[in-house]
Parts: sequence; C-alpha cells; structure tokens
Amino acid sequence: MTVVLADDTIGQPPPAPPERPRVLMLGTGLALVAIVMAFAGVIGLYLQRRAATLASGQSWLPKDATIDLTPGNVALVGLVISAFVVQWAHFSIRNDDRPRAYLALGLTALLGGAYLNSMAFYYTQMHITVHDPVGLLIFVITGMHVAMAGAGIVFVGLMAFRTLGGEYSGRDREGIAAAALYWHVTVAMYAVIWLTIFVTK
Amino acid sequence: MAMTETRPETHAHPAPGNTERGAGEPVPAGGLAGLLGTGRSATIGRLWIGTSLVFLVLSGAIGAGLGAERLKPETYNIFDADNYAQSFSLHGVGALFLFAIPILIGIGIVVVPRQIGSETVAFPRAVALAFWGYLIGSGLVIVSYLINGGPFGGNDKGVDLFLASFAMVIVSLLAASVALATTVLALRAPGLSLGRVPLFTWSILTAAAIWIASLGLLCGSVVLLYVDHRYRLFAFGASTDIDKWLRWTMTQPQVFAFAAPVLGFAGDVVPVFARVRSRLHGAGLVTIGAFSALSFGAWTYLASVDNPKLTEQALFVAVSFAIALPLLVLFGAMADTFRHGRLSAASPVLFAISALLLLLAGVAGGALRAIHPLALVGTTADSAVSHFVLGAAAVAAIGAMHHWWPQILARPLREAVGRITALLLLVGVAALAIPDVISGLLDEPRGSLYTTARDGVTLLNGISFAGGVLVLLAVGAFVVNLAVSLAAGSRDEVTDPWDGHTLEWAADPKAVIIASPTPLLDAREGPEGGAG
Repeated sequence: MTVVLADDTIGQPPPAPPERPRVLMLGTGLALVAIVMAFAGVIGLYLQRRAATLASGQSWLPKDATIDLTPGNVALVGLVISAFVVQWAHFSIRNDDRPRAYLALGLTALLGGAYLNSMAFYYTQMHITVHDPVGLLIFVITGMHVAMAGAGIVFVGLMAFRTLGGEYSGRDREGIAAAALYWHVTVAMYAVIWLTIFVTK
Repeated sequence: MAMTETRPETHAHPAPGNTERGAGEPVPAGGLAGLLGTGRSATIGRLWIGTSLVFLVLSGAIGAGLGAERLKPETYNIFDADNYAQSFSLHGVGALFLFAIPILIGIGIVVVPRQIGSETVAFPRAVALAFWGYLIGSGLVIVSYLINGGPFGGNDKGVDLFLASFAMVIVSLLAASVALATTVLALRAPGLSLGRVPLFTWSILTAAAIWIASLGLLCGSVVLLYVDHRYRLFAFGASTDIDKWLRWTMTQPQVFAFAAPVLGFAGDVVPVFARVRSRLHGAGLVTIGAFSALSFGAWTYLASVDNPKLTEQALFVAVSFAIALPLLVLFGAMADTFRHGRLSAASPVLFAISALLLLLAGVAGGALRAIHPLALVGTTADSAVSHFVLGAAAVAAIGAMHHWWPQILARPLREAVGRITALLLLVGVAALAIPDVISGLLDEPRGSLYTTARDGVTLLNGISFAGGVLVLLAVGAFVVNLAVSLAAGSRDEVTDPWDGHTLEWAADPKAVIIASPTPLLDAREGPEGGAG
C-alpha cells in the first residue's frame, strides 16, 4: 500500500531548502518559559503570604532580619551591565569580530561570577535563616535564581568555547543568541526579585 | 543545552522494517549498550511508551485495591489507616505523572517527527536523558512510598526522597515537552506550515506548551516543599499536606491539558477511516488550540491551596463550561466527516470515539463540579473527573498504538482484540467513574473511607469496582495483544496499512510535495480530491 509518488514529482522544481532551523533558540525560549513559571509560582506565594501577614497587622520580616539594599543594588547593576555585555558579544559575532566576541563572552561570565559572589555576601548580611518561614521563602527564591545564573554562566561559557573553536560566525550565531536570551531573562528575573523581595520587603 | 544540539542521526529514518544501511555508515551498538546510548527518536519513544505502560499496570492494580477496599464501608480490609491515603496518592501520582503524560510524550516522540517530515526529534540526546531521568525518578518515587514516604508518609526521609525524585520526574517531563514543542516549531518539512500540520502534531504542540508552563510552576512549588520539609520547618504543610499542593494538577481545568492529544489523535484517525478528506482541518486546529488554552490551570495553583472559594469564582465556572465548546465543535466536525465519508468500525476509530466520549464525560463532570449548589468539590466526583480524563488519555494512547503500529511497533496488533479492548475500556471507565459522580451527589468524600455512608453508595462502589476490573481486563488484553505481536518476530514491511493522508505514512517523506494538510491524499487524488 505504499504510495507511489514518482509521476507527481517528475517535472516539479526541487523543493526549497529548509530554512536554517533555530532549534537551540526555540528550545532555550521554551525552557525559559518553564523557568519563569517556576519563579512565578514561588514569588506569587511569597507575595500572597506577605500580603496576608501584613493585613493581619503583623510584621513580615523576622525581627533580626536586615535586608540592606546596597548589596542587592550592586548585584543588580552588575547584572544589568552583563546584559549589555552579552548583547555586545552577539553584536560582535554578527559582525565576525571574534576577538571582541571572546572578550564580551568572558566578561559576561565574569560579571555572572561577581553576581554569585555578591549574593553569597548578601546572605551573610541578611541575618535570616532557612528555619524561619519567611527566610525559607527568600532562600528558595534567591537560591533558585543563583542556580539559574550558575546555569547561565555554564551556558555562556560553553558558547564561548564553541566560538573559540570556530563554530559561530556572522552567518550562524544561534548559540550565542540563545545564550544571550537566557542571560537577559536571568537578569530580568533578578530585577523582579530585587523589586519584590529586596525593595518592597 | 548546548551539548544536546548535536544530532546523533544525520541520515533519514529508514522506512519501518527497512534495516539497510549505507556504505561507510557506522554500525550502531546493539543490545543494552545500544539501548543506553541511543539517540534515535523511535527507540527513545518506545522506551517512554514501554515504561509508562508498566506504571499504568501498577497504578491500575493499586486503583483496583482501593476500589475493593471501598466495597466494605467503614472498615479497612486490604489496606490500613496508615497506607490507605498513601496508596490513594500513589494511584493518582502514578496515573498522571508516571503514565499519562509520559505515554503521550513517548507516542509524540515517535509519531510527531514522522508527521512533520523530520529525521529526528529536536534535542534527541536531551530526550534520551529525560527518559532516564524519568525512569530513575519514577523508580525513586515508588521506593519513597515503599519506605513510608510520599504524601501522607510517616518517614521524613522518605518524604524528602519523594519530593526530590518527583521534582526529577517533572524536570524530565519538562525537557521532553520542550523537545517536542521545538520539533514541531523548528523541524517541519518545506511546505508544511503550522496551518497544515496534522492534528495530532498540533495537539502535541499546544499540549506541550501548556505542560511547559504548568509543570514549570509545579516544579518551583515542589522545590519549595522539598526545602521546607528537608529542614523540618513544615511552614507549608507536613506530608499530609503535600497532596493539597499537587491537587490542582489532577482536577479541572489543568487535568484536561493532559488529555489534549486525545483530540489530535481522533482528528487524525477519523478522516482516514471515513475515506474522505478532512473538511474542517482549520476548525480542528482552532478547537484543539482553544481546548488546550482553556485547560491551562496554573492560575488555580495558589487558590487551590489557600482559597476554598476558588470553585465559586466566575472565571473558574466560566472556564469549566467554556471548555466543552471546542470539544462539541470537534465532535460536530467529525460527524460531518463521517457524513461525507463512510462509517468504519476499525479499532483506531473505536478507540478515537471512545476516548472522545470519555473526555466529553470528564468535561461534563467538571462542569457539574462548577455548579456550586451541587457541592461536588471534595467529593468522589473529583476522582470521577480524573478517571474520565485520564481514562480518555489511556484509551487514546492505546488507540494510537493500534493506529500508528508501523511507526511505533513495526508489527500489527490483532484488530479483533483491539476492538474488544476499545469497547471494554469505554464501558470500564464509564462504569468506574459514573457511580462516583452519583456518590459525590450523595456527599461521599474523596479519597477516604466512608464517613457518611448512605443507602445505595455501597452498590455504587460495587459498580465502580466492577468498572475498574473491566479496565484492568482491557489493559491485560492489550498487553497480551502487544506481547503476541512483538513475539511474532519479524517486522512487517507495510508502511501504510490504512491509506493514510499525512506524511508519516509515506515510504519516502522527502519525495512528497506538501501543499495541503493531506499531502498523501493529494498524491493519490489530486489537490482537491479531483482526478489528479
């Protein structure tokens, strides 16, 4: 019962070559949807519990907790700069400017590392503990973000090594675009955390 | 992610049964090494399917035990007070997360690439990794229940193990869903626009999109529960409350998302067996998309934990009724297709119609739950909706194996046994679930032994138990049918036993010119059913 197509294809022009599929870009985008939803769930819970606590006239943060804005601001500034830097990497590879692409990818990873460092410092200054419900929520939310940023550094690093290996160019820069997309969402997610946890407390 | 970008297969899928290999092509490893290291879509898909069938049997057996327990009210006969709730929880978790979603993913991994003319699924290595994650995670979930962990468990370390392994299962399902959605979006053959993709592929895309969003959210909350439980804070509930955090995935509207591929399966099967071109392909796309969109239930997640009045909210009520609309439109489209073609009683058709009827019953049950004066929420009607919907998914999955046997099994299944299986499943699931709706109207609570046993409830439970036994018999018949077919040995060379309309039935998909949703029908009859 196999269908015979020979007669139908004779005389037809060859099919157009498939457009270069943006598989990695799409996959990264879809994975980011899941990640953003994971944050939406826990941040939504944080906001709901905080609103309920404040509505009952109690204070939200534990007595000894001190969420000083400075480390959070420093982390935010560093991440925002890194978002521009990773975009610079994308721009450079698009123009086949490989040395600047290497530099930008390396700087992105470095700034990501600086963010992890600033969060580690932040944890030591907050005076909150995971054995408290509010502290638990803060540690889970920020911890998930630290994990996301760590994965982002690995992603950027891999793309950097691939670029060093000659894989990406102005014609094919999908991997770097995907890493940049991931990094932008990482930065945006931190901005949400910064606002909902560190600023509005 | 970058590591998964490399495609292990650079050659086209051979036609089913064709094992010829080009000169210079590496000989793939065989046996266990080949299985462990495979990146071939069909093999990975079969692994997903086979494993999920094991969990179907396990979950079904536990369900039968729970049903038998309800035959004698107010006493424990099979289980005891400690493990009844745990078994009930494992039955639900197993049916949804270890069986229904994985089997649909497995079928999608095998069928979807072929339907869109792709050589492989996107990120095949990630899909293989997801399978092994699912397998190990599922095994650990079972182990956690066995050591008195899991929801309602008394062993704290066992509960920790459950939460960690359950998160592993969710991440695995997420990775596979991402790969499936990416496959449809990025790897379609030239000419195959999204408006032309087969309805099953479309349903997998829309369902995967909903799964990605909702399972992502579930994953975040499971991580939170894990940390909470790991540090013994119990700020978000002890082990007895874990079930509460998962329940939104097992009730409306979210549970409908796990049955969206049922619509795609039926939409692909009906025109083929009616021997007529699908007249309402566009309507099928719209209705499946609308059904999936309306089944997005992540917005009920917080309310299901903290807000008992969720089911009274206008949005919840509206969605519960609105989701019936696309289903009814699809039914109308299929009736129209049959009216212009001819009726068939082939097993895939029986499975498709059975699955649609069960899904419609589930949607109707959900609408009843949304009628506040009936007070069905929290009663056995909750279980009835889940049974209808997951039953529909199971029927469609087994039907898909009968329909797409050249792609999935490469060996035919017995048609007569298939027909009996479909009918048994339809009757069994209906008998299993309908009495629970009536019991719900009599205020019988969900998931516990009787607190207010009333006249007739014992009889209803008896009917429900009989329905469960019928379902198990049907599953047994299918497993035997499958085993006999696989034991028959040699692969069947037939590529298109049904005169299919879509690309997966082509011996050489690359030779097919795609100018409509039914390219093979175009090749036979001409673009608009003319002499061609």
